[in-house]
Amino acid sequence: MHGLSVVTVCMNRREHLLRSAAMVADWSHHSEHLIVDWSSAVPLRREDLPADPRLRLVRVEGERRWNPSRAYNFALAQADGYRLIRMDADCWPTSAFDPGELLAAAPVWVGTGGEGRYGQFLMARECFAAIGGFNEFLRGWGFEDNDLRARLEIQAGVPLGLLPAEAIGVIEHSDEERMGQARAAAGQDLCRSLGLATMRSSRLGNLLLAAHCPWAAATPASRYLEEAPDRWRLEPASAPVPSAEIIDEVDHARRMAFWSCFLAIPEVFLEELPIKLAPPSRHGRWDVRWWHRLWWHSGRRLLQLPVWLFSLTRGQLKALGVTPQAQRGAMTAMRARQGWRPPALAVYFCFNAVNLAAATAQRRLEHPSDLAVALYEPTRLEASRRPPWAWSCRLGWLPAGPLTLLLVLLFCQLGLVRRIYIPHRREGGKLLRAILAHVPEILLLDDGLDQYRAQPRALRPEQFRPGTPLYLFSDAVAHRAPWCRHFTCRELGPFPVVGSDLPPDRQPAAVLIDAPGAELLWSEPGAIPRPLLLLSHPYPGKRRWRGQADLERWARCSAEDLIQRFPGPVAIGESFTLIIGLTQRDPLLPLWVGLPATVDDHFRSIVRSFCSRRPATVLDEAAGSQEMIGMGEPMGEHAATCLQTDAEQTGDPEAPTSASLQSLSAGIET
Amino acid sequence: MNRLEHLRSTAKHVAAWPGHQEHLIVDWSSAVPVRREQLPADPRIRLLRVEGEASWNLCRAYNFAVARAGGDWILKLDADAWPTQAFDAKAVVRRLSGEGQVPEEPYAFGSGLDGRKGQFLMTRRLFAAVGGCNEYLVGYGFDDKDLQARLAVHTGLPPSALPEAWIGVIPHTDAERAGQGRSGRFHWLEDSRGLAAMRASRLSNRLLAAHCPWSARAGASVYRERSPGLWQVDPATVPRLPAEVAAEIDHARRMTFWGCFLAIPEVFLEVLPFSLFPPARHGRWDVRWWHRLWWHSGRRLLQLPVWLLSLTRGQLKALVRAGGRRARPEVG
Repeated sequence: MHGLSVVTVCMNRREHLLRSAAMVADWSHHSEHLIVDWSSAVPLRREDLPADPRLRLVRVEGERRWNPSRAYNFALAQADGYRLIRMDADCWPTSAFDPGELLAAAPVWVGTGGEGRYGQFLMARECFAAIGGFNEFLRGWGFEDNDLRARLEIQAGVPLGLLPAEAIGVIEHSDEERMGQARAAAGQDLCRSLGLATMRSSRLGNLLLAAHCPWAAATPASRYLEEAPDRWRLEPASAPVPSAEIIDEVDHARRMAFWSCFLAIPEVFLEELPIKLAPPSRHGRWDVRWWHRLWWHSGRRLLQLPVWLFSLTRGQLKALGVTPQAQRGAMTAMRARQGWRPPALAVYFCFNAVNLAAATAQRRLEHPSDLAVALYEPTRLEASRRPPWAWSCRLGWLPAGPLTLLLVLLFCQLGLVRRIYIPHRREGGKLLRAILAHVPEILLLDDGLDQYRAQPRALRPEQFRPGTPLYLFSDAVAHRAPWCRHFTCRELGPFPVVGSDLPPDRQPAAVLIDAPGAELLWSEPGAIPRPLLLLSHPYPGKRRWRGQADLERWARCSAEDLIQRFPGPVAIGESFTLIIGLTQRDPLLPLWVGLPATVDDHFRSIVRSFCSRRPATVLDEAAGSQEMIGMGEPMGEHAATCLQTDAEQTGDPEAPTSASLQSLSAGIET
Repeated sequence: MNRLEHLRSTAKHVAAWPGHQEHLIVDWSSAVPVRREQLPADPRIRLLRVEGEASWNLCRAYNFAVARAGGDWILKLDADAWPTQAFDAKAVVRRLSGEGQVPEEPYAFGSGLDGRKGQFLMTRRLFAAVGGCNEYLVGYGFDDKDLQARLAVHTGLPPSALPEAWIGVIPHTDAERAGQGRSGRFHWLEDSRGLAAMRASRLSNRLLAAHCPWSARAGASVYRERSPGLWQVDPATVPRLPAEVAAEIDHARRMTFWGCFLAIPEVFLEVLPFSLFPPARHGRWDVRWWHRLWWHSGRRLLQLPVWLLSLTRGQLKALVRAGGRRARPEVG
């Protein structure tokens, strides 16, 4: 669409930006993607971003803290388009986002659907200018988006359209990450409490600033000087500053809100205490000392005990109808917004190793406060992949069986299970169906290669409502099949690789990962490098290799690690590890790929495309489509010629181009 | 509303002041209607009554009143305030609107303590240009600051100050200001309740002003004259909060009141049974026996270490100063 600018501001969120920028580059509707680097400690480099000619990088120097209002006012003023999209560094427009269609219906559209979607918008530039943009009196995180909406709607009288949740993709993150702190690991309730307190104090401060210092088109905004091409700096005296009286009130409110929430000391007491014990923040950072931590772990916990006991009666009182329904709903919404989560239980169904890895990755990434149990299918999982209890992500493991399923059903009926994570419900028996019928929230887990197949083999999308969250590994995001759009895809990052030991007496010359297609590899017994390490498929029905192996899998033997690092030849059939091999293994290391006849065309074209760019990769295909793409030598002149794109080789316009491969590798890096 | 004693006292002072042509008094649904004969026999006094209002709403009340006033200049005075003989209206109007360098849209707010800051003088045109008071605000606090902030944005200038000596006021406590009544026998508890109610109201009005910014474009309430001097609002025209904002404000108000009154931190209040700490009804907080019991027992017990630590407050500062280090400025 002509004149449409996507604007992103980023401060120290390089990893998020690399992922989201690749997604924006894949989107076709905009004419410019302006990225403003808001004084990141390590400046963003143009060469790290996708090679999309629409992308422009500008840097603002000398900013000490995140200020979304000033940052976006600057960025949107720099944009060329007369239609503007705000997309934070952790967001991107999806294929469901059609700006032309939306703007034809209304001039302003704002994000909905939780996570970071709320602050994103699409609007005509004149609407943004009519209210003077964001309120630059606001500082740090929170409320700048609500303030903008309120002024658009109430002051300017512009009706706001609501962007559907599926129009915006997001990388989810925790309160503490949102506040620029490290993600809290398991058991680090203190860190989580710190993140929540920081977020609340920042939001309250901005609410008060918005109340005291209303903003309008006539209010003078900050001015910037261009020091060098695409490098800007604030004119110091130009930034709006509230009066000293207002600053005092806001700082006091922030201080009270932070320490009161973090240490659970009521404000009326905090006001009496020496200020040095609960000092104000410095440049948005709270100085948490050892005595605060000591109190948090001792006094706060002690005071929390009777509160916890009282809170147990809460549900019963509600059940008796003490609290009116409407109030209950409002309170739930409020608590959800303020980060309060009631304790709950989650159940993960893991039918194979990928499901299990997805479950663990999801918990490590999102760190939900609930307790969880993973029910695995013992026949499909290797022993080494079944830890009894993953403390780091509050996840316990149990073999799935009739008894455990009955227990889960009972827990569901008691309302104790809040979420079920499952890869699919194919062949689900009556028990599983009953469980799914009783749980409030169902979420989907990665099921290996399905995301790259034209049609998933096990998952039936029509069995789940559109927009159901689907957790997927992000090794080759750009090649995902169209059916994934039925769901809200949540990125788990690259497939996790566990380290592997190669004892001196077990040094193989080659590695074979057995799966359908493996039978096509090394059909001549003399061609097999010896000794050969065989990693059998955990499910006997998918083992194809009929040849002899010299070494078998041992306890600390990780297929993913061998695929990534083993210098000798690695041969893979149609297994989920194939994508790891194609995306994470050095292209100059030898790789044999065997594809059976049953592989669908979408997946086949992806594999072909990757292989064509890997000089040391050999692709063997069954059913007459066998085709030698590379020669198999580690390096050579012939191999170098294989670096042509499919488009160049076949003239196929749908084939991935060099640009899409670059964006893919950006995705892999993150 | 229900402040006849204050009104009778201040109306005499206003009647004695020569600077005005009209004294418009609006009786905002007082339980016992104000009668004309209860007020001074000053012909400049005009009494109107608005029927059917369940609670005090300063912003709606003054928007109604200003809309019915006859003059081009408006001096807003609460029922507990009056212009003293030092108040030279002609001089201030001259100062605000004449002598060349003065802005086209002059306005001035009271200065000093005891509610003087809420009184103002400005043209009716300017009041209308910003839409008057923000009708989303309810109860006590921030109505004046919100109006000032919007006037400052509109005119590009800060307000002038009416000298403290120009406005007389009847002082009253936080409890009275917040509509909780005067402290009685257990005055510490009642003071604490008044303080909590006032804080809750002040915070919620700040949050309301942030969530629902007011302007001339915002639709103010419309009133119908049922009989001469007797008005009633058209309920459909009263601005309504979006449900999400209303829930957030109610929550903040409830947390602030009970958090301040019972000294229970918000993070704990949020998980405690809702019915133990109910929201206000028509601005009144339902303080029950168990709240009083906690106030006299648990709260006092928890306050003990705080009180001990607070004793060191001055000493720590003195030590820091003695050590040659600069003490951090105290905020708030």
